[in-house]
Amino acid sequence: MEYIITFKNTNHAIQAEQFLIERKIPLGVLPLPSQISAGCGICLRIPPQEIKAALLALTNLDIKILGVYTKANPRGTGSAIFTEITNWSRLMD
Amino acid sequence: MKTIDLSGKPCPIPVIEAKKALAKQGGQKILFKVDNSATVKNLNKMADACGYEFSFTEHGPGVFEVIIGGGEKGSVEPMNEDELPFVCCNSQAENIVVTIGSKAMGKGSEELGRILIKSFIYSLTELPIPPKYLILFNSGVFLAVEGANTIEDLKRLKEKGTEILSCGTCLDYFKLQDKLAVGTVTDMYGTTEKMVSAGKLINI
Repeated sequence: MEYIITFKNTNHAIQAEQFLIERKIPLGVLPLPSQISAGCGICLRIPPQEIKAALLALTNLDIKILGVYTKANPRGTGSAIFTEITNWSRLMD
Repeated sequence: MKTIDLSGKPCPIPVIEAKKALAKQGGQKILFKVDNSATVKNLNKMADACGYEFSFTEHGPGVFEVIIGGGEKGSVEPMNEDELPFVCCNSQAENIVVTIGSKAMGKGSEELGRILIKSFIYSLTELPIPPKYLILFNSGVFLAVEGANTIEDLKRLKEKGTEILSCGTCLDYFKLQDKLAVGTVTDMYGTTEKMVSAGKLINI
């Protein structure tokens, strides 16, 4: 499992990626999965152990996080399942 | 049993040669060595269409032994090559070569291009049939060296069967010879040979 963060626009996604790289937070980039309808074309994926640090770090930036999702790849199925975390601010506690 | 090695021959040559060899042998069993699953499928279709028995064994990645011959009906009238009941598009799909010559995708904004290329590499890992080769040259080699956050996706691509190759001259130029984190090094001969023999060549 890993977390997906989506953004309002591409500039925010680029800023967020650079900011997290500078802070040595491991992350990956992926195109917005078709199962997620809202957000710009680029999103970031963050390992579970880093999501708190990543979200806390992003609060220092003047950008809007549009959504946070979990991405799971159940065994035996080809496609990933994305689940929106509506109260994702709790991940920062 | 007679053995014929058909590996390394591009589609549709293995099927044509197998059919001719079987006709010459009067339909007796022949063992064919082939190097990809598309050719195995095409040989299977040819065997079915001609009424031969068919079996195959996979000995490892790219190592297949196919036995064709015998069968109740035996040899059927040889067909013309354009009547062969197979398509080659599988073979083409299995030989996709992607070359990336920059650490940014497209021109216009370097900043945008740098994130687009990461997004592109991730989406390669999601393809049903991964590319056969991914060749990185010029500043594209930065995507495969220590510290790049594309390493994880490139490793995943490698696990799916893509061979990741970085240009040795380019690693040398950027003084990154000791930093390669995924895949191996190739030279211009290797790059050129893979480009010209590609079923589809996608150049970024």
